[in-house]
Amino acid sequence: MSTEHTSLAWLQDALHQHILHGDERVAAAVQSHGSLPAMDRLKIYRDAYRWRLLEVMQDHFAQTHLYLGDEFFNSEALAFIEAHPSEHHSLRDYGLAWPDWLSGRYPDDTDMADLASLEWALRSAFDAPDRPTLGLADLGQIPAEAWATLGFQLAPGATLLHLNHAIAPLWQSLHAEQTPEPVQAIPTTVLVWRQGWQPHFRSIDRAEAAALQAVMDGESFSDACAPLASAADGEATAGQWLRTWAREGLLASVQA
Amino acid sequence: MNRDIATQRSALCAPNPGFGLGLRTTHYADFVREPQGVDWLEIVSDNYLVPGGKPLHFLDTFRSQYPMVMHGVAMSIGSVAGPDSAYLQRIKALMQRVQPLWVSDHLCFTGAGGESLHDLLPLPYTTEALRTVVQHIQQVQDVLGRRLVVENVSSYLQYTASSMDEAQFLGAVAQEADCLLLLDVNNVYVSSVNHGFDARAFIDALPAHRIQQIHLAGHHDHGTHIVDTHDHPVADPVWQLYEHTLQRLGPVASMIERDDHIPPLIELIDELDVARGIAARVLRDAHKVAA
Repeated sequence: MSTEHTSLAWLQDALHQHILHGDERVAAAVQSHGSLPAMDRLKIYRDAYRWRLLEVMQDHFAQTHLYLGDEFFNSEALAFIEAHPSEHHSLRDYGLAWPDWLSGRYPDDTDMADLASLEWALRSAFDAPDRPTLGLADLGQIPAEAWATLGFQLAPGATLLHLNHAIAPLWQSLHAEQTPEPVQAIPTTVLVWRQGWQPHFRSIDRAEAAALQAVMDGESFSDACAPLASAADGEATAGQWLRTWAREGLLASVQA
Repeated sequence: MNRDIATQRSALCAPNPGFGLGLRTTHYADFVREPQGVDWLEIVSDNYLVPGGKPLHFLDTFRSQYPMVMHGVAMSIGSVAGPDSAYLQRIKALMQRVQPLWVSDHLCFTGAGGESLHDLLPLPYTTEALRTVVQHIQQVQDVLGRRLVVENVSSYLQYTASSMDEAQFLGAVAQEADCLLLLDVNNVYVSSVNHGFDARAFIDALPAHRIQQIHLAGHHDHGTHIVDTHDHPVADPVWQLYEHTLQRLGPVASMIERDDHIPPLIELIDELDVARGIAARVLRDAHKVAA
Protein backbone atom coordinates (compact mmCIF):
# COMPACT_ATOMS: atom_id res chain seq x y z
CA MET A 1 0.00 0.00 0.00
CA SER A 2 1.40 3.42 -0.90
CA THR A 3 2.20 6.03 1.72
CA GLU A 4 -0.70 8.08 0.43
CA HIS A 5 -3.04 5.25 1.43
CA THR A 6 -1.79 5.27 5.01
CA SER A 7 -1.92 9.00 5.52
CA LEU A 8 -4.39 10.32 8.07
CA ALA A 9 -6.15 12.51 5.52
CA TRP A 10 -6.56 9.62 3.07
CA LEU A 11 -7.87 7.21 5.72
CA GLN A 12 -10.33 9.72 7.12
CA ASP A 13 -11.67 10.67 3.72
CA ALA A 14 -11.86 7.02 2.62
CA LEU A 15 -13.79 5.94 5.75
CA HIS A 16 -16.04 8.97 5.43
CA GLN A 17 -16.79 8.16 1.79
CA HIS A 18 -17.39 4.53 2.65
CA ILE A 19 -19.91 5.35 5.37
CA LEU A 20 -21.74 7.88 3.21
CA HIS A 21 -21.50 6.35 -0.24
CA GLY A 22 -20.19 2.78 0.11
CA ASP A 23 -16.82 3.64 -1.51
CA GLU A 24 -14.76 0.47 -0.91
CA ARG A 25 -11.22 1.93 -1.12
CA VAL A 26 -10.87 1.93 2.66
CA ALA A 27 -11.44 -1.83 3.01
CA ALA A 28 -7.83 -2.62 2.12
CA ALA A 29 -6.67 -0.36 4.95
CA VAL A 30 -8.76 -2.14 7.59
CA GLN A 31 -7.55 -5.20 9.51
CA SER A 32 -9.63 -8.36 9.44
CA HIS A 33 -9.55 -10.11 12.79
CA GLY A 34 -11.18 -13.26 14.16
CA SER A 35 -14.56 -14.06 12.68
CA LEU A 36 -15.23 -10.53 11.47
CA PRO A 37 -13.86 -9.57 8.03
CA ALA A 38 -13.03 -5.93 7.22
CA MET A 39 -16.20 -5.34 5.21
CA ASP A 40 -18.38 -6.52 8.11
CA ARG A 41 -16.51 -4.21 10.46
CA LEU A 42 -17.10 -1.29 8.10
CA LYS A 43 -20.78 -2.21 7.83
CA ILE A 44 -21.20 -1.59 11.58
CA TYR A 45 -20.26 2.07 11.02
CA ARG A 46 -22.26 2.36 7.80
CA ASP A 47 -25.43 1.02 9.42
CA ALA A 48 -24.94 2.96 12.66
CA TYR A 49 -24.75 6.23 10.72
CA ARG A 50 -28.15 5.63 9.09
CA TRP A 51 -29.85 4.36 12.24
CA ARG A 52 -28.56 7.31 14.23
CA LEU A 53 -29.92 9.86 11.78
CA LEU A 54 -33.16 7.91 11.37
CA GLU A 55 -33.69 8.01 15.14
CA VAL A 56 -33.05 11.74 15.08
CA MET A 57 -35.63 12.20 12.30
CA GLN A 58 -38.15 10.10 14.24
CA ASP A 59 -37.56 12.27 17.28
CA HIS A 60 -37.58 15.64 15.49
CA PHE A 61 -40.67 14.75 13.45
CA ALA A 62 -42.54 12.51 15.89
CA GLN A 63 -46.03 13.55 14.69
CA THR A 64 -45.08 13.18 11.02
CA HIS A 65 -43.72 9.74 11.89
CA LEU A 66 -47.06 8.82 13.52
CA TYR A 67 -49.01 10.25 10.60
CA LEU A 68 -47.05 8.45 7.88
CA GLY A 69 -46.50 5.19 9.75
CA ASP A 70 -43.21 3.38 10.32
CA GLU A 71 -42.71 1.92 6.87
CA PHE A 72 -43.35 5.02 4.76
CA PHE A 73 -41.71 7.47 7.16
CA ASN A 74 -38.57 5.36 7.54
CA SER A 75 -38.22 4.80 3.82
CA GLU A 76 -38.61 8.53 3.08
CA ALA A 77 -36.35 9.54 5.97
CA LEU A 78 -33.62 7.15 4.83
CA ALA A 79 -33.86 8.55 1.29
CA PHE A 80 -33.56 12.05 2.80
CA ILE A 81 -30.54 10.96 4.85
CA GLU A 82 -28.80 9.60 1.72
CA ALA A 83 -29.33 12.94 -0.01
CA HIS A 84 -28.44 15.14 2.99
CA PRO A 85 -25.13 14.48 4.74
CA SER A 86 -25.03 16.48 7.96
CA GLU A 87 -23.03 19.69 7.96
CA HIS A 88 -23.91 20.46 11.57
CA HIS A 89 -21.96 19.84 14.73
CA SER A 90 -25.13 18.99 16.57
CA LEU A 91 -27.83 16.52 15.64
CA ARG A 92 -30.27 19.11 16.95
CA ASP A 93 -29.96 20.94 13.63
CA TYR A 94 -30.49 17.89 11.42
CA GLY A 95 -33.73 17.84 9.37
CA LEU A 96 -34.22 21.52 8.52
CA ALA A 97 -34.61 20.63 4.82
CA TRP A 98 -37.03 17.73 5.42
CA PRO A 99 -40.31 19.67 4.92
CA ASP A 100 -39.13 21.06 1.56
CA TRP A 101 -37.83 17.63 0.58
CA LEU A 102 -41.26 16.10 1.28
CA SER A 103 -43.15 18.78 -0.65
CA GLY A 104 -40.72 18.39 -3.56
CA ARG A 105 -41.29 14.65 -3.71
CA TYR A 106 -45.02 14.78 -3.10
CA PRO A 107 -46.29 18.07 -4.55
CA ASP A 108 -49.88 16.77 -4.52
CA ASP A 109 -49.73 15.68 -0.87
CA THR A 110 -48.22 18.64 0.92
CA ASP A 111 -50.08 17.81 4.14
CA MET A 112 -46.95 15.79 5.09
CA ALA A 113 -44.66 18.78 4.51
CA ASP A 114 -47.09 21.09 6.34
CA LEU A 115 -47.05 18.87 9.42
CA ALA A 116 -43.25 18.58 9.27
CA SER A 117 -42.91 22.38 8.96
CA LEU A 118 -45.04 22.86 12.06
CA GLU A 119 -42.94 20.35 14.01
CA TRP A 120 -39.70 22.06 13.00
CA ALA A 121 -41.02 25.49 13.98
CA LEU A 122 -42.14 24.15 17.38
CA ARG A 123 -38.69 22.63 17.95
CA SER A 124 -37.02 25.90 16.96
CA ALA A 125 -39.23 27.86 19.38
CA PHE A 126 -38.47 25.36 22.18
CA ASP A 127 -34.86 26.44 22.61
CA ALA A 128 -34.98 29.89 21.02
CA PRO A 129 -33.16 32.65 22.96
CA ASP A 130 -34.69 33.80 26.24
CA ARG A 131 -36.06 37.34 26.28
CA PRO A 132 -38.30 39.09 28.81
CA THR A 133 -41.70 39.85 27.28
CA LEU A 134 -44.10 42.77 27.62
CA GLY A 135 -47.31 42.22 29.58
CA LEU A 136 -50.51 44.25 29.51
CA ALA A 137 -49.23 46.42 32.36
CA ASP A 138 -46.11 47.29 30.34
CA LEU A 139 -48.26 48.34 27.40
CA GLY A 140 -50.29 50.54 29.78
CA GLN A 141 -47.14 52.50 30.62
CA ILE A 142 -46.56 53.57 27.01
CA PRO A 143 -47.42 57.28 26.53
CA ALA A 144 -50.40 57.84 24.20
CA GLU A 145 -48.37 60.01 21.80
CA ALA A 146 -45.83 57.21 21.24
CA TRP A 147 -48.34 54.85 19.62
CA ALA A 148 -48.29 56.64 16.26
CA THR A 149 -44.75 55.44 15.51
CA LEU A 150 -43.77 52.62 17.87
CA GLY A 151 -43.23 49.05 16.80
CA PHE A 152 -42.41 45.82 18.57
CA GLN A 153 -39.75 43.16 18.44
CA LEU A 154 -41.36 39.76 18.71
CA ALA A 155 -40.11 37.08 21.06
CA PRO A 156 -37.36 34.91 19.52
CA GLY A 157 -38.75 31.78 17.88
CA ALA A 158 -42.06 33.41 16.92
CA THR A 159 -42.84 32.59 13.32
CA LEU A 160 -45.72 32.49 10.84
CA LEU A 161 -46.14 29.38 8.72
CA HIS A 162 -48.16 29.56 5.53
CA LEU A 163 -49.49 26.05 5.00
CA ASN A 164 -51.70 24.44 2.36
CA HIS A 165 -53.80 22.48 4.85
CA ALA A 166 -55.68 22.86 8.11
CA ILE A 167 -52.92 21.21 10.09
CA ALA A 168 -53.90 22.17 13.64
CA PRO A 169 -56.67 19.52 14.01
CA LEU A 170 -54.32 16.89 12.57
CA TRP A 171 -51.56 17.77 15.03
CA GLN A 172 -54.01 17.75 17.96
CA SER A 173 -55.38 14.31 17.00
CA LEU A 174 -51.91 12.82 16.61
CA HIS A 175 -50.78 14.39 19.87
CA ALA A 176 -53.78 12.85 21.65
CA GLU A 177 -52.99 9.50 19.96
CA GLN A 178 -56.37 9.53 18.19
CA THR A 179 -57.02 8.55 14.58
CA PRO A 180 -57.08 11.85 12.69
CA GLU A 181 -59.91 12.96 10.39
CA PRO A 182 -58.89 13.46 6.74
CA VAL A 183 -56.92 16.70 6.43
CA GLN A 184 -58.72 19.54 4.66
CA ALA A 185 -56.87 21.32 1.88
CA ILE A 186 -57.53 24.83 3.19
CA PRO A 187 -54.67 27.37 3.01
CA THR A 188 -53.92 28.25 6.62
CA THR A 189 -51.51 30.49 8.46
CA VAL A 190 -50.24 29.17 11.77
CA LEU A 191 -48.45 31.25 14.40
CA VAL A 192 -45.77 29.40 16.38
CA TRP A 193 -44.14 30.85 19.49
CA ARG A 194 -42.94 29.95 22.97
CA GLN A 195 -44.68 31.09 26.13
CA GLY A 196 -42.59 30.48 29.22
CA TRP A 197 -40.83 27.20 28.47
CA GLN A 198 -43.63 25.77 26.35
CA PRO A 199 -43.91 26.08 22.55
CA HIS A 200 -47.43 26.91 21.30
CA PHE A 201 -49.21 27.32 17.99
CA ARG A 202 -52.56 28.57 16.79
CA SER A 203 -54.25 29.19 13.47
CA ILE A 204 -54.40 32.88 12.73
CA ASP A 205 -56.70 34.73 10.32
CA ARG A 206 -55.38 36.52 7.28
CA ALA A 207 -55.73 40.06 8.65
CA GLU A 208 -54.01 39.34 11.97
CA ALA A 209 -51.27 37.38 10.20
CA ALA A 210 -50.62 40.30 7.83
CA ALA A 211 -50.40 42.74 10.75
CA LEU A 212 -48.09 40.46 12.71
CA GLN A 213 -45.89 39.94 9.66
CA ALA A 214 -45.69 43.72 9.20
CA VAL A 215 -44.62 44.09 12.86
CA MET A 216 -41.98 41.36 12.32
CA ASP A 217 -40.76 43.27 9.25
CA GLY A 218 -40.18 46.35 11.40
CA GLU A 219 -43.26 48.42 10.59
CA SER A 220 -44.85 50.45 13.36
CA PHE A 221 -47.89 48.92 15.04
CA SER A 222 -49.97 51.78 13.66
CA ASP A 223 -48.84 51.09 10.07
CA ALA A 224 -49.27 47.35 10.56
CA CYS A 225 -52.90 47.97 11.49
CA ALA A 226 -53.52 50.48 8.66
CA PRO A 227 -55.61 47.98 6.65
CA LEU A 228 -58.14 48.07 9.50
CA ALA A 229 -58.71 51.81 9.10
CA SER A 230 -61.76 51.43 6.88
CA ALA A 231 -63.40 48.82 9.13
CA ALA A 232 -66.06 50.02 11.58
CA ASP A 233 -64.48 48.10 14.45
CA GLY A 234 -60.90 48.55 13.24
CA GLU A 235 -59.58 50.20 16.38
CA ALA A 236 -61.21 47.61 18.62
CA THR A 237 -59.71 44.79 16.53
CA ALA A 238 -56.23 46.33 16.70
CA GLY A 239 -56.57 46.66 20.47
CA GLN A 240 -57.75 43.07 20.74
CA TRP A 241 -54.76 41.81 18.73
CA LEU A 242 -52.33 43.74 20.89
CA ARG A 243 -53.81 42.43 24.14
CA THR A 244 -53.75 38.88 22.79
CA TRP A 245 -50.11 39.21 21.70
CA ALA A 246 -49.14 40.55 25.10
CA ARG A 247 -51.01 37.78 26.94
CA GLU A 248 -49.36 35.18 24.73
CA GLY A 249 -45.87 36.49 25.44
CA LEU A 250 -45.23 37.43 21.83
CA LEU A 251 -43.97 40.96 22.40
CA ALA A 252 -40.35 41.11 23.48
CA SER A 253 -39.69 44.83 23.40
CA VAL A 254 -40.84 48.20 22.11
CA GLN A 255 -39.09 49.62 19.09
CA ALA A 256 -39.35 53.37 19.07
CA MET B 1 -2.79 0.41 44.53
CA ASN B 2 0.22 2.63 44.28
CA ARG B 3 0.40 5.64 46.60
CA ASP B 4 2.78 7.38 44.19
CA ILE B 5 0.08 7.26 41.52
CA ALA B 6 -2.39 8.97 43.86
CA THR B 7 0.14 11.67 44.69
CA GLN B 8 1.03 12.26 41.05
CA ARG B 9 -2.64 12.32 40.08
CA SER B 10 -3.47 14.91 42.70
CA ALA B 11 -0.84 17.18 41.13
CA LEU B 12 -2.48 17.01 37.69
CA CYS B 13 -6.15 16.14 38.14
CA ALA B 14 -9.09 17.83 39.85
CA PRO B 15 -10.03 16.22 43.20
CA ASN B 16 -12.22 13.11 42.97
CA PRO B 17 -15.88 14.17 43.45
CA GLY B 18 -17.13 10.57 43.91
CA PHE B 19 -19.83 8.77 41.93
CA GLY B 20 -21.92 10.41 39.23
CA LEU B 21 -24.45 9.86 36.50
CA GLY B 22 -25.01 11.25 33.03
CA LEU B 23 -27.85 13.79 33.25
CA ARG B 24 -30.73 12.76 30.95
CA THR B 25 -33.99 14.62 30.26
CA THR B 26 -36.07 11.61 31.36
CA HIS B 27 -34.75 12.10 34.90
CA TYR B 28 -35.26 15.88 35.13
CA ALA B 29 -38.48 15.47 37.14
CA ASP B 30 -36.68 13.29 39.72
CA PHE B 31 -33.93 15.85 40.20
CA VAL B 32 -36.49 18.67 40.47
CA ARG B 33 -38.55 16.75 43.05
CA GLU B 34 -35.83 15.97 45.58
CA PRO B 35 -32.07 15.59 46.03
CA GLN B 36 -30.81 12.32 44.52
CA GLY B 37 -28.07 9.92 45.56
CA VAL B 38 -25.43 11.07 43.11
CA ASP B 39 -22.34 13.10 43.97
CA TRP B 40 -22.08 14.86 40.61
CA LEU B 41 -23.61 15.00 37.13
CA GLU B 42 -22.08 14.77 33.68
CA ILE B 43 -23.82 16.71 30.92
CA VAL B 44 -23.44 16.09 27.21
CA SER B 45 -22.16 19.57 26.34
CA ASP B 46 -23.61 19.50 22.83
CA ASN B 47 -27.17 19.19 24.17
CA TYR B 48 -26.80 22.58 25.82
CA LEU B 49 -25.23 24.50 22.94
CA VAL B 50 -28.64 26.04 22.33
CA PRO B 51 -29.77 29.67 22.39
CA GLY B 52 -32.15 29.35 25.36
CA GLY B 53 -35.37 27.78 26.63
CA LYS B 54 -35.95 24.82 28.91
CA PRO B 55 -32.60 23.02 28.39
CA LEU B 56 -30.56 25.93 29.76
CA HIS B 57 -33.12 26.66 32.49
CA PHE B 58 -32.81 23.11 33.84
CA LEU B 59 -29.06 23.12 33.34
CA ASP B 60 -28.74 26.17 35.60
CA THR B 61 -31.14 24.67 38.15
CA PHE B 62 -29.26 21.37 38.43
CA ARG B 63 -25.88 23.08 38.37
CA SER B 64 -26.88 25.03 41.46
CA GLN B 65 -27.46 21.69 43.22
CA TYR B 66 -24.71 19.38 41.91
CA PRO B 67 -21.09 19.62 40.77
CA MET B 68 -20.97 19.06 37.01
CA VAL B 69 -18.56 17.90 34.36
CA MET B 70 -18.93 18.66 30.65
CA HIS B 71 -18.63 15.84 28.13
CA GLY B 72 -18.69 16.64 24.41
CA VAL B 73 -19.11 14.49 21.33
CA ALA B 74 -18.28 16.82 18.45
CA MET B 75 -14.83 18.33 19.05
CA SER B 76 -13.27 15.91 16.54
CA ILE B 77 -9.74 16.41 17.87
CA GLY B 78 -8.49 13.62 15.61
CA SER B 79 -9.70 15.04 12.33
CA VAL B 80 -7.10 16.37 9.91
CA ALA B 81 -8.93 19.69 9.77
CA GLY B 82 -8.91 19.98 13.56
CA PRO B 83 -11.57 21.34 15.89
CA ASP B 84 -13.80 24.08 14.51
CA SER B 85 -12.90 27.36 16.21
CA ALA B 86 -16.51 28.59 16.38
CA TYR B 87 -17.49 25.31 18.04
CA LEU B 88 -14.67 25.70 20.57
CA GLN B 89 -15.87 29.20 21.41
CA ARG B 90 -19.37 27.84 22.08
CA ILE B 91 -17.91 25.14 24.34
CA LYS B 92 -15.91 27.82 26.12
CA ALA B 93 -19.02 29.97 26.64
CA LEU B 94 -20.89 26.96 28.06
CA MET B 95 -17.88 26.20 30.26
CA GLN B 96 -17.99 29.72 31.63
CA ARG B 97 -21.71 29.31 32.37
CA VAL B 98 -21.45 25.84 33.96
CA GLN B 99 -18.07 26.20 35.72
CA PRO B 100 -17.54 22.43 35.39
CA LEU B 101 -15.02 20.38 37.34
CA TRP B 102 -13.51 19.45 33.96
CA VAL B 103 -14.26 19.28 30.23
CA SER B 104 -13.93 16.12 28.16
CA ASP B 105 -14.31 14.84 24.60
CA HIS B 106 -13.23 11.81 22.60
CA LEU B 107 -10.03 10.60 20.94
CA CYS B 108 -11.56 10.20 17.48
CA PHE B 109 -12.69 12.05 14.40
CA THR B 110 -16.33 12.65 13.50
CA GLY B 111 -16.17 13.24 9.75
CA ALA B 112 -14.26 14.82 6.88
CA GLY B 113 -14.65 17.65 4.40
CA GLY B 114 -17.00 19.73 6.54
CA GLU B 115 -19.58 16.95 6.91
CA SER B 116 -20.30 15.25 10.22
CA LEU B 117 -21.14 11.59 10.56
CA HIS B 118 -22.08 12.16 14.22
CA ASP B 119 -20.03 9.14 15.21
CA LEU B 120 -16.83 8.61 17.19
CA LEU B 121 -14.65 7.20 14.42
CA PRO B 122 -11.37 5.47 15.31
CA LEU B 123 -7.97 6.86 14.41
CA PRO B 124 -5.00 4.96 13.02
CA TYR B 125 -2.33 4.67 15.72
CA THR B 126 0.47 6.25 13.70
CA THR B 127 3.05 8.91 14.47
CA GLU B 128 1.27 11.24 12.03
CA ALA B 129 -2.06 10.80 13.86
CA LEU B 130 -0.29 11.27 17.20
CA ARG B 131 1.30 14.53 16.01
CA THR B 132 -2.06 15.76 14.67
CA VAL B 133 -4.02 14.91 17.79
CA VAL B 134 -1.44 16.40 20.15
CA GLN B 135 -1.43 19.65 18.18
CA HIS B 136 -5.25 19.82 18.23
CA ILE B 137 -5.51 19.08 21.95
CA GLN B 138 -2.99 21.83 22.65
CA GLN B 139 -5.07 24.18 20.51
CA VAL B 140 -8.20 23.24 22.52
CA GLN B 141 -6.36 23.66 25.81
CA ASP B 142 -5.15 27.10 24.74
CA VAL B 143 -8.73 28.18 23.98
CA LEU B 144 -10.31 26.67 27.09
CA GLY B 145 -7.43 27.63 29.38
CA ARG B 146 -7.39 24.22 31.04
CA ARG B 147 -6.35 20.62 30.44
CA LEU B 148 -8.74 18.68 28.22
CA VAL B 149 -9.89 15.26 29.43
CA VAL B 150 -9.75 12.80 26.53
CA GLU B 151 -11.77 9.58 26.33
CA ASN B 152 -10.85 6.30 24.62
CA VAL B 153 -13.64 5.27 22.21
CA SER B 154 -15.01 1.81 21.51
CA SER B 155 -14.14 0.61 18.03
CA TYR B 156 -15.06 -2.03 15.51
CA LEU B 157 -12.10 -1.67 13.17
CA GLN B 158 -8.36 -1.11 13.28
CA TYR B 159 -6.17 0.14 10.47
CA THR B 160 -3.33 -1.80 8.89
CA ALA B 161 -1.33 1.45 8.99
CA SER B 162 -1.16 1.49 12.82
CA SER B 163 2.36 1.26 14.15
CA MET B 164 1.47 1.12 17.87
CA ASP B 165 -1.42 -0.27 19.89
CA GLU B 166 -4.26 1.83 21.25
CA ALA B 167 -2.99 1.96 24.83
CA GLN B 168 0.45 3.14 23.66
CA PHE B 169 -1.20 5.75 21.45
CA LEU B 170 -3.51 6.97 24.21
CA GLY B 171 -0.63 7.17 26.67
CA ALA B 172 1.57 9.05 24.20
CA VAL B 173 -1.25 11.51 23.45
CA ALA B 174 -1.74 12.20 27.16
CA GLN B 175 1.96 12.70 27.84
CA GLU B 176 2.79 14.78 24.79
CA ALA B 177 -0.33 16.97 24.87
CA ASP B 178 -0.17 17.19 28.68
CA CYS B 179 -3.88 16.37 28.83
CA LEU B 180 -5.90 14.11 31.12
CA LEU B 181 -7.78 10.90 30.36
CA LEU B 182 -11.33 9.72 30.70
CA LEU B 183 -10.99 5.95 30.84
CA ASP B 184 -14.14 4.29 29.53
CA VAL B 185 -13.81 0.80 30.98
CA ASN B 186 -16.70 -0.52 28.90
CA ASN B 187 -15.05 0.80 25.73
CA VAL B 188 -11.82 -0.97 26.65
CA TYR B 189 -13.75 -4.21 27.14
CA VAL B 190 -15.76 -3.79 23.91
CA SER B 191 -12.65 -3.05 21.85
CA SER B 192 -10.66 -5.84 23.52
CA VAL B 193 -13.26 -8.37 22.37
CA ASN B 194 -13.61 -6.83 18.91
CA HIS B 195 -9.86 -6.72 18.33
CA GLY B 196 -8.66 -9.59 20.52
CA PHE B 197 -6.38 -7.76 22.97
CA ASP B 198 -5.92 -8.11 26.74
CA ALA B 199 -8.12 -5.51 28.42
CA ARG B 200 -6.22 -5.63 31.72
CA ALA B 201 -2.88 -5.14 29.99
CA PHE B 202 -4.42 -2.16 28.16
CA ILE B 203 -5.40 -0.53 31.45
CA ASP B 204 -2.06 -1.34 33.05
CA ALA B 205 -0.25 0.38 30.15
CA LEU B 206 -1.99 3.76 30.61
CA PRO B 207 -0.40 6.69 32.46
CA ALA B 208 -2.42 6.16 35.65
CA HIS B 209 -1.67 9.58 37.11
CA ARG B 210 -3.45 11.28 34.18
CA ILE B 211 -6.78 9.43 34.57
CA GLN B 212 -9.32 11.97 35.77
CA GLN B 213 -12.52 10.02 35.29
CA ILE B 214 -13.98 6.59 34.56
CA HIS B 215 -17.03 5.79 32.41
CA LEU B 216 -19.09 2.65 32.89
CA ALA B 217 -21.83 1.55 30.50
CA GLY B 218 -23.66 -1.39 29.01
CA HIS B 219 -23.18 -2.99 25.61
CA HIS B 220 -24.81 -5.47 23.26
CA ASP B 221 -23.06 -8.74 22.49
CA HIS B 222 -23.63 -9.91 18.90
CA GLY B 223 -21.52 -13.04 19.28
CA THR B 224 -18.97 -12.15 16.60
CA HIS B 225 -18.50 -8.67 18.07
CA ILE B 226 -19.78 -6.32 20.76
CA VAL B 227 -21.46 -2.99 20.09
CA ASP B 228 -21.20 -0.15 22.60
CA THR B 229 -24.93 0.65 22.86
CA HIS B 230 -25.32 2.20 26.35
CA ASP B 231 -28.75 0.54 26.47
CA HIS B 232 -28.11 -2.23 29.01
CA PRO B 233 -26.88 -2.39 32.60
CA VAL B 234 -23.10 -2.64 33.02
CA ALA B 235 -22.06 -6.23 32.19
CA ASP B 236 -20.22 -8.50 34.64
CA PRO B 237 -16.91 -8.58 32.72
CA VAL B 238 -16.93 -4.77 32.76
CA TRP B 239 -17.47 -4.71 36.52
CA GLN B 240 -14.53 -7.08 36.88
CA LEU B 241 -12.40 -4.85 34.68
CA TYR B 242 -13.52 -1.83 36.74
CA GLU B 243 -12.34 -3.61 39.91
CA HIS B 244 -8.99 -4.31 38.27
CA THR B 245 -8.79 -0.66 37.20
CA LEU B 246 -9.39 0.64 40.72
CA GLN B 247 -6.87 -1.83 42.13
CA ARG B 248 -4.29 -0.11 39.95
CA LEU B 249 -5.52 3.48 40.18
CA GLY B 250 -7.12 3.83 43.59
CA PRO B 251 -10.28 5.93 43.88
CA VAL B 252 -11.22 7.74 40.64
CA ALA B 253 -14.39 9.71 39.81
CA SER B 254 -16.68 7.12 38.26
CA MET B 255 -20.05 7.32 36.55
CA ILE B 256 -22.56 5.33 34.52
CA GLU B 257 -23.64 6.40 31.04
CA ARG B 258 -27.07 5.30 29.86
CA ASP B 259 -28.37 6.66 26.55
CA ASP B 260 -31.08 4.25 25.41
CA HIS B 261 -33.74 2.16 27.16
CA ILE B 262 -33.16 4.54 30.04
CA PRO B 263 -34.58 3.03 33.24
CA PRO B 264 -36.06 4.92 36.23
CA LEU B 265 -33.39 6.97 38.00
CA ILE B 266 -33.55 4.78 41.09
CA GLU B 267 -32.34 1.79 39.04
CA LEU B 268 -29.30 3.73 37.83
CA ILE B 269 -28.57 4.88 41.37
CA ASP B 270 -28.77 1.23 42.50
CA GLU B 271 -26.32 0.38 39.70
CA LEU B 272 -24.07 3.21 40.84
CA ASP B 273 -24.12 1.62 44.30
CA VAL B 274 -22.50 -1.46 42.73
CA ALA B 275 -19.63 0.79 41.63
CA ARG B 276 -19.49 2.30 45.14
CA GLY B 277 -19.38 -1.22 46.62
CA ILE B 278 -16.51 -2.30 44.36
CA ALA B 279 -14.56 0.87 45.13
CA ALA B 280 -15.08 0.39 48.89
CA ARG B 281 -13.94 -3.25 48.66
CA VAL B 282 -10.83 -2.35 46.66
CA LEU B 283 -9.93 0.38 49.14
CA ARG B 284 -10.48 -1.98 52.11
CA ASP B 285 -8.31 -4.68 50.52
CA ALA B 286 -5.59 -2.13 49.79
CA HIS B 287 -5.58 -1.02 53.42
CA LYS B 288 -5.32 -4.64 54.58
CA VAL B 289 -2.31 -5.17 52.35
CA ALA B 290 -0.73 -1.93 53.57
CA ALA B 291 -1.33 -2.92 57.22
